[in-house]
Amino acid sequence: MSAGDEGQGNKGGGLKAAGKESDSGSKKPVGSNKEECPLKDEKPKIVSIEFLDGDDKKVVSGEADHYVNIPRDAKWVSDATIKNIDRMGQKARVKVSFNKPGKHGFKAKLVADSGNLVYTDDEKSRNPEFKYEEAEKHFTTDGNGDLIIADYFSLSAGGADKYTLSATDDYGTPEVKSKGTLKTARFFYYAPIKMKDLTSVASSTSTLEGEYAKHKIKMVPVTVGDIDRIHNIGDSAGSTNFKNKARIAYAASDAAKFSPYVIAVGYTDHLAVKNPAKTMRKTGVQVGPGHPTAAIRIVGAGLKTADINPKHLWQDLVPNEGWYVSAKFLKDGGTAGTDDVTITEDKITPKPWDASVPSKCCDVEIDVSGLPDGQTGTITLKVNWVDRMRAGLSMGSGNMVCICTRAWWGDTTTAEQNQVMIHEIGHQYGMVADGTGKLPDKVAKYYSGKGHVGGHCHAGLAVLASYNGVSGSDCVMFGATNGKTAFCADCSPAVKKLDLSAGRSNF
Amino acid sequence: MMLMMLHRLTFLSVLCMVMVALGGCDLSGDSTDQQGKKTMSESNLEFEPAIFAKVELDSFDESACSPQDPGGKWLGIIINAPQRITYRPNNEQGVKLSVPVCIFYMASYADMENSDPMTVVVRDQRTNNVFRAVFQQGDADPVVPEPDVPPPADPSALVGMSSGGHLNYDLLNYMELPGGSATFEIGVTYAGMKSNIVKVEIVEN
Repeated sequence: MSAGDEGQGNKGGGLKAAGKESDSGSKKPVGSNKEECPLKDEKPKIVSIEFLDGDDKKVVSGEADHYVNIPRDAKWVSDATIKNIDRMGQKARVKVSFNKPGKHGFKAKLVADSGNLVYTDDEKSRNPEFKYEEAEKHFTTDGNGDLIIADYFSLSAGGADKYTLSATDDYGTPEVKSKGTLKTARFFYYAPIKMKDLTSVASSTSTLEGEYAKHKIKMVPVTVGDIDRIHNIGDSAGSTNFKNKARIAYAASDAAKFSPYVIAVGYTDHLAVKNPAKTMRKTGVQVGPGHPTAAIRIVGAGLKTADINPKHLWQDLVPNEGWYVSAKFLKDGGTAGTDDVTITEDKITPKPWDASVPSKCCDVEIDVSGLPDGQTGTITLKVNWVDRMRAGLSMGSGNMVCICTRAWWGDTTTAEQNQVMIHEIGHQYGMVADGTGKLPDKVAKYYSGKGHVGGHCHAGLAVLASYNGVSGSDCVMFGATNGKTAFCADCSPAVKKLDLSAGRSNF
Repeated sequence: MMLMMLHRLTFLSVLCMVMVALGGCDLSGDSTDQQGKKTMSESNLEFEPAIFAKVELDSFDESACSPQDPGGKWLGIIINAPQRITYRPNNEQGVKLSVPVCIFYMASYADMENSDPMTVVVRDQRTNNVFRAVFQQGDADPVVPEPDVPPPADPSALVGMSSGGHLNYDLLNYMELPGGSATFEIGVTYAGMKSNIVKVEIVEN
């Protein structure tokens, strides 16, 4: 964004006493010593219409971003992005100047660029903020030949729309056009909330910022203090604890001052769900000295799915929480509760199947050599196992998204975390638009539910009854992680159209 | 279909009595939690036995009302539920009706492999209408798929294996039941097995 000096309108004549300055010099008629103004007989005419840029004398020259979602308030001005108070708000402040003082009539209008977003009639009827002020209007300058118009030129709510100005006066002067162009943009802070000693947090958020910048949403980080480490969030009580800690840190930071134009980004460790004290039973086990270990593959039903899969032992996820609950041997013909022989944890060895992830075990071997010799019977093993690992948490209706930085005992990559951030912040902004309320029209590949929760985009895939476990999608707004960090060709225009003026309420 | 169900009810009612004896929750009514018990004028939701109020719903560990594991080589499904639930609808405190169903099951790997999800079947004694729902936890949170699938197990690790555990569901999180006072018969099916049938009377005040 650049600002120039006030336009050429005040450089036309020697009218200093009347408030208009001239740099055009003067001339002497031939044969006369009397100096005359060269513009003595010039008629009043409009000389400029420009977007103001911070005060009543600076105007936009070139192209300037205008943050339409932010209300006009000096507190949003920042050296880095919103450089002055005229670069925010839905209405642009405009100055018109004539070459001479006096009250002059003129007509002025916004000129939309031919490449601007096209909002449908439905969109404009649902959300009047999608409209820009198309009408030409007649104005009259103040007595000094200037007029500042602050409350007429409404810009559309979306991003990347370009506008210039045009005006004609009542004297028949040729149309004047602004030298400056406004380009609409949206602005949001994001507030990373990290846990102490959690080293798996994304090293960069440039992909996040870049993808939203493509859609003229400027994402600017604001610092929040770290919260204490929570090694795993596994249930609603854990989520509440995390939110409470995050809330305290958020409220104490600058982020809270920027409400409602802030997204809180909470980074978490594992989000594993424990299925506690599940029972495994193996019959026909021969025990006693010399007998080989008893092998057990941990298998069971999921809490969310009926699929029968190997389950991994709950270990190395939360300090002081282990997988072992109990184990016992009951000889055939024995009485349960009376003849059981306890098997201690040290007799059971979890067997990792991937040497690079030793914590990941769905098999155990039980040393039965110390059990009563020569007996055959049943081993009952109770274990805590991992039901599932989650990629994020539903944080309710507030402005927080949750980014999981560890899963399956490994760190998620910076690219993966950026992908989840783009997706979750997309939801915060109203994607995937479904054509209701103040949102843009329903995106062509929109789907709801179908194995996922909420509204998503199936670009790259046909219409299916369920998208659960389906690969091949092309959009970051698909309902499961798919390696994509960009909005698809259907979602992209909707992201540009989004009206973000309402902001997001604090979580 | 209904006749079959009634036959099963008779048989399973007997089974229920046996299983209740095995269960961890004393349904005689003598073990009500006197300390926490409130009269209906104070409470909008009351269970008989009152100890069902202590069950953490949609939890998956052994609860105060969980049936006990019969042990040994036992395979099957056992369920417990309150005999009576007294409820005041539209109460000012916004207390909602819940119907705890506490389950213990053990099923062989082979039978689970191709089984439908665990299903609850409810019959309304007033109308004989039957309702079914799958006991499967809803979760809005996205899941991270396992990056790699474990290799097939050593065959010896699957021989003679069964799996199971405790489950504590609020029936009303999985199905809607007709309003008003009514008695419902509740059973659960999974992996080719059927549970005992329990009878729950809901009394609206």
